[in-house]
Amino acid sequence: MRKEIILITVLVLAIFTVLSPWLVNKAPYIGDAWIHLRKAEDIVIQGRLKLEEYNDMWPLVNLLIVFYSIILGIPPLISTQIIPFLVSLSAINLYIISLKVSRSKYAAFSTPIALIFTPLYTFITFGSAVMKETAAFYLTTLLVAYFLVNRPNLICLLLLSFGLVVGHHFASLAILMFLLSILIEDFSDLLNGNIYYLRRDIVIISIFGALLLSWNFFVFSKIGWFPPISGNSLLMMTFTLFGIYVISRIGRLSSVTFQFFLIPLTALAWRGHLHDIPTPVNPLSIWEVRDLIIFIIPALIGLALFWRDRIIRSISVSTTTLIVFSLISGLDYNSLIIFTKSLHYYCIFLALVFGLSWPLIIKKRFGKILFTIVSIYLMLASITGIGLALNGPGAYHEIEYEQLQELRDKLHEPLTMDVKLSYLSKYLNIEYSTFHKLKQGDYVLLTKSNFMHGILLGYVWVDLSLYMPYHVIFSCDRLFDGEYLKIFRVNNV
Amino acid sequence: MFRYILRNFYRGSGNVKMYILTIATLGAILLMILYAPAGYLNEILEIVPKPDISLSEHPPGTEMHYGYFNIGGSDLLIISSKNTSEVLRFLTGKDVKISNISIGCEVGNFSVREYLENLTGMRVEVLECMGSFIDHAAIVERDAFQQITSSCPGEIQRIYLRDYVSDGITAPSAYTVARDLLKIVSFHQSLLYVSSTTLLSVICLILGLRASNDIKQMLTWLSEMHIPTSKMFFYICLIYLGATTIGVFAGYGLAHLTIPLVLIFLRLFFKIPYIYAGLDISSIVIILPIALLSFLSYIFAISWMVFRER
Repeated sequence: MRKEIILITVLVLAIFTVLSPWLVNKAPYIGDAWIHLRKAEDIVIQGRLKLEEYNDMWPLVNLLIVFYSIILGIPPLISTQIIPFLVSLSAINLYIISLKVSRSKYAAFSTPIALIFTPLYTFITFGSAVMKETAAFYLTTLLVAYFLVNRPNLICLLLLSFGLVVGHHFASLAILMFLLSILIEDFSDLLNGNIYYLRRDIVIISIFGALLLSWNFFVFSKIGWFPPISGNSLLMMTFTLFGIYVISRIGRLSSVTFQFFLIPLTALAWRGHLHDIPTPVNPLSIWEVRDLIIFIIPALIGLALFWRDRIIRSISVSTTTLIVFSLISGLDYNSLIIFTKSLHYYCIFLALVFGLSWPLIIKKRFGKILFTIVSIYLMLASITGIGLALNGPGAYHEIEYEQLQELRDKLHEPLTMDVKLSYLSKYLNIEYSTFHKLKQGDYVLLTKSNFMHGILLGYVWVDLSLYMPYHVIFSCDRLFDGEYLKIFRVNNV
Repeated sequence: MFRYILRNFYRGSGNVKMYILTIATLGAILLMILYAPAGYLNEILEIVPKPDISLSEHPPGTEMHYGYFNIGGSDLLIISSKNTSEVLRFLTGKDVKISNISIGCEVGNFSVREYLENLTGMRVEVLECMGSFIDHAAIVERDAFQQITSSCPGEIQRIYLRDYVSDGITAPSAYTVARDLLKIVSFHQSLLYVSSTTLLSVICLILGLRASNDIKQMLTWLSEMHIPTSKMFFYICLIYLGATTIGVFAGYGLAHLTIPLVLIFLRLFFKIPYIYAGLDISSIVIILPIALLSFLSYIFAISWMVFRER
C-alpha cells in the first residue's frame, strides 16, 4: 500500500510539474502549441484530417487534442494539456523499467523523480510543451519498457509502433537507434550461444521498421519531400553508434569516464555556452553546477553498476549516440535543433542510471537518509528550472492571448512581430510580418518577453535594441499599452 | 562447425572481442594523432579568405585608378586601368572580356548608364553578376576615365595590384600561417604515421603472441572434435579477418566522435576556436596497416601452433 501511495505521489508531482506553465500562465507552453491547436480545431470543424504541410506529417498531437476534446467535451485549447499530461505518465514507464532492471523499489521510485527534477530541467521545458515530439514521448518510454516483456503481444506492439511512427520522426529515430543497439547486443549474445532474444527482437525491429518506412513514404508522397536527416548524417550517426558501442564494451571505466566528460558538456551546451547561436538562456550559475554534481555522482555510480545490463547499455548507447552526433556534427543552428531534441532522450538515460545507483547506496550506512535528502534536494533545486521555464522566452500568458483576441477586429494594418508572437497571430488570423528594418509608419507588436529576452528570429534571439533602439521606442506612438502586449507606430527611425 | 569455432573464439579470454577492441582503440588513437591537427588546419584553410592579390602604393604591378564620382545624383565607384581585364581578374578571379565602359549588374540604374553614354559617346555594357563589389561599380578604360573625371566631382586614388605569389614582402596572413603550418604538420604527419604505425603494430604483435596460450587451449579443444586441420585453420582465418574488418570500422567510428569532442573541450578550456574537423571516410585506410599487421601477427601465432601440432 505504501508503495502505491509513493508512486501516486510521484505521479502527482510529475503532473503538476509539466502542467505548471498552464496552471500559472493559463496558456499553452511553446509556440508550436498554437499551430497544433489550430490544426485540431480545423479537424473538429471539418471532421477530417488533412495532410497538407509539415505539421500534418506526424499528426498524433493534433489527433490527441481532437480526441480528448470530443471525448471530454472540453474546448481544444484546454485539451492541449493532454499532451503534457501524457508526458507525466512516462514516470510510470520509467518506474517499470527501473524496477525490472534493478528489482529495487528505491531505484524504481528515484528514477521518475530524477526525470521530473533533473537539474537540466528538460522535463518541464520539453514535457510542458505541446509539440509533436512531446506527444510521442510517452510512447517512446512505453516502447522501451515493452522490451522488458518476454513475450510481447503483437497487436499491442503494432499499435505502439504505429502511434510512435505517426507521432514524430525524431522520436522514431531515437527508438530506431535503441533497436539497433539492442540488435548489436543480440548478435553479441548469439556468439555467446544465447539466442533467446534475437528472434523476438528481429520481429519487433521488422514491424517497427516496416511501419516507419511505410508511414514516411506515405506522407512524403502526399505532402512532399521533407529531409529530416540527410544520408550523410545517417552514415555519420551509424559510425557514432559504432564508436559509442565500442566505448561501452571496452569496460566499466571507459563508459563512466566518457559520460563523466559528456554530461557536463551537455549541460554547458544546453545553457548556451557551446553553440554559436545566441540563445536567451541564463548562464549556468555556480549553484546549478552544485546541483549537477549532486545529480551526476549517483548517475555515474548507477552506470558503473548496470553497464553490463543489455537494456541499460542499449539505452545508453542510443541516447548518447544522438547527443554526441548533435555535438560533433557542428555547433551551428541545425546542430542546436538536433541537440535540443536529443537531450530529452538523453535525460531518460540519465534518470535511469541515477535511479539505479540507489540499490547500492541504500545498503550503506545512512543510505536511506541520503536517498531522502537527495530526492528532496533535487525537487528544491529544480525550482530554479521551473521558474526559468514559467517566465522564459517560450512561455505564453493568458493575457497575451486574450488581449490579442480582443484587438484582432480593430487591427487593419499588418503588424511587425517576432516569431514567438507570430505563432499566436497566425492562430488568431492576424496579418503580420516578421521583424525587418523598421520604416516610418510601421506598426510593431511587442510583448513582455521581447523586452526581457529579446526578439526571436527563427531559432536565434537578438536584442530588441538591434531593431528598436531606445530613442526609436520613445519616439513611437503607443497605440496599445497593456501589461504584456504593446503596439507601437514607428515615427522616427 | 563454423558457428561452433566462432563461439569458442568469441567466448575465450584471449578472444575475438578483445581483438576487435584492440584494433578499434589503437586505430582510433592513430587517427586522432594524425588527423586532429591536420584536419583542424585544413578546416582553417577552408574558412580563411585566400588573399590572391596584394595591394601597394608603389610599382611593380598593374596600375589601377579608382574613386567615387557623383553620377546621376548618387556616388558610383569607378575603377580604371590600362588593362581592365587584368584588373577584373585580380579583383574577382574571373577572366571576363569587357568593353571600354562596363557597369556592374546591380548598378542597373538607367540614368547612370545613359549619363555615361552621353558623356563619353561610347556604348556602356552591363556586366554579368559576380557576387562582389564589382556588381555595384563601373570599370572603364583610361580614355573614358579621363573624360568622366574632368566633368564629375570626385577624388582619384592610385594603387598597384600584384599577384600574391609573386609578392615576397607580404605580411603573413592567417591563410599563409595556416598553410605553412599545414605543410609542417603534413611533414611531421608522415614521420608520425610511420612511428605510430610501427609502435602500434609492435603492440598488436605482442598482444597476438600473448594471446597464444588461450588460442592454444581452444585449438586443443577443437582438435579433440576431430575437425580437419585445414578446415579449422581456414575458419579461424575467416573469423579473424571478419574481426579485423569490424575493428577497422569501429576504430574509425571511435575516432570520428572523439576528435570533434576533443576540439570542443579545447575550445572550452583553452579558448582555441572550434573548427569542425570531421574525419573523411577515406581516412579509414590509415588504420589498415596496423589492422593487417595485427591480423598477421595473430594468424602467425595460430599457424605456428596448428602446424607444429601436426
